[in-house]
Amino acid sequence: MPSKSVVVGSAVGLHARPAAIIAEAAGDLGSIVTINGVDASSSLMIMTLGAKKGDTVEVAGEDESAVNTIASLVERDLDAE
Amino acid sequence: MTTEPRTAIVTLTANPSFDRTVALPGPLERGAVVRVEAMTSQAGGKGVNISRAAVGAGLGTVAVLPALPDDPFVRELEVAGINCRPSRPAGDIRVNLTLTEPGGTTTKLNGPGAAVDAGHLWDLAETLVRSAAGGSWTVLAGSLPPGARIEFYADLVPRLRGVSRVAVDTSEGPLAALVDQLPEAAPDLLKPNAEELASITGTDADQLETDPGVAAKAARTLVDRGVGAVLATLGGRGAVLVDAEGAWYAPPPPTVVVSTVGAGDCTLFGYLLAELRGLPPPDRLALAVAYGSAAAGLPGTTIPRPSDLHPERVEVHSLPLSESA
Repeated sequence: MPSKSVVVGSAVGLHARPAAIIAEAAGDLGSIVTINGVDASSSLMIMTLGAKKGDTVEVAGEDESAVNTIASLVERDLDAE
Repeated sequence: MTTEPRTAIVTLTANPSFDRTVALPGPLERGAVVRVEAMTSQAGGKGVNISRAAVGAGLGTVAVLPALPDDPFVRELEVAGINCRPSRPAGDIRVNLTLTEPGGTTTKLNGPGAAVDAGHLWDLAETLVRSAAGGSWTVLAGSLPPGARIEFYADLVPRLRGVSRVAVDTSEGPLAALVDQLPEAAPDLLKPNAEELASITGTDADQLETDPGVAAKAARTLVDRGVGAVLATLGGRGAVLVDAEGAWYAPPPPTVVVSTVGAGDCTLFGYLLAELRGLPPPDRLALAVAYGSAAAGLPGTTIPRPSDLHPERVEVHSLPLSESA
């Protein structure tokens, strides 16, 4: 199963707005993607990870391009955009 | 995985037990010698369940319990990733024996546990207060051993104030004693089930379990007496959360119930996890109910991991704060 280790880029970590943006994007994908094992389409589950800026997380899923989509969002500073 | 700089959750298990399950090949025959098909043993207790859930979610956790440092119970927890702070025990750890028959009939033989004296309880309380200083939440959960004063939890809560936030999940005498000593003994979180909430608020248990509004109203009386938040579990009907800011109700998502053992402990843990992540009360309730229903869908006391959870399937409804009196 394709997976990718990425460093969290958002200043607030995977919380509030970044978590919501990632969950919305994951919900629009045709396949399930996980971040550290939790469903990336659930902003609440993303927030339970408590991942801070600079932490490394594992993005995984059946479909490589879907994994890449979510991985690149995790790496960006979504709060600054 | 994220590393936690400090222990998130400290649990107290005052009356730990080895939970042994024996699968019988046929109906139990009194007076016979039975060759069993399978026997399992697990270190158990409500506090232990909550520490297991914490490990599953990647949180640092410490379990305080009366046991010898080299007891197999302690070794089992350490292997599971739980840091133990054993305090001087009164005797061997009790055994709770469950006999299961092929037809589904289950017989439980629960050991009483060794009787404690004031010295054992003093040691346990000291160990807990020292350990709690390193944690964000301290959870006092489960029954007390024989010989313990029923005010043990009620007396501990004020000692923990300013040290750590405190959650309490207990029943009968220890729960009644805590409620008697409100607001001095008010914890930050109280997690009764419907029957327990009914008994401490003088409400009808059936009405309370079937009507979330009645449950919220009963819980509200405890918040008025100083309890930070009340998370009342209503069995298959989900849970109600009441704090000073509001009241919410969440029914569980459709769940194929396999075993409700430990579901209440998981519900409590879900609340704590969401609170530790800075999420607002409705999200705490959603995660609590997601954890509880995921636990109910797993066999035995199997603790769900975050990958088993679907809080987005939980609908949270806001309840009116108070009916015009």
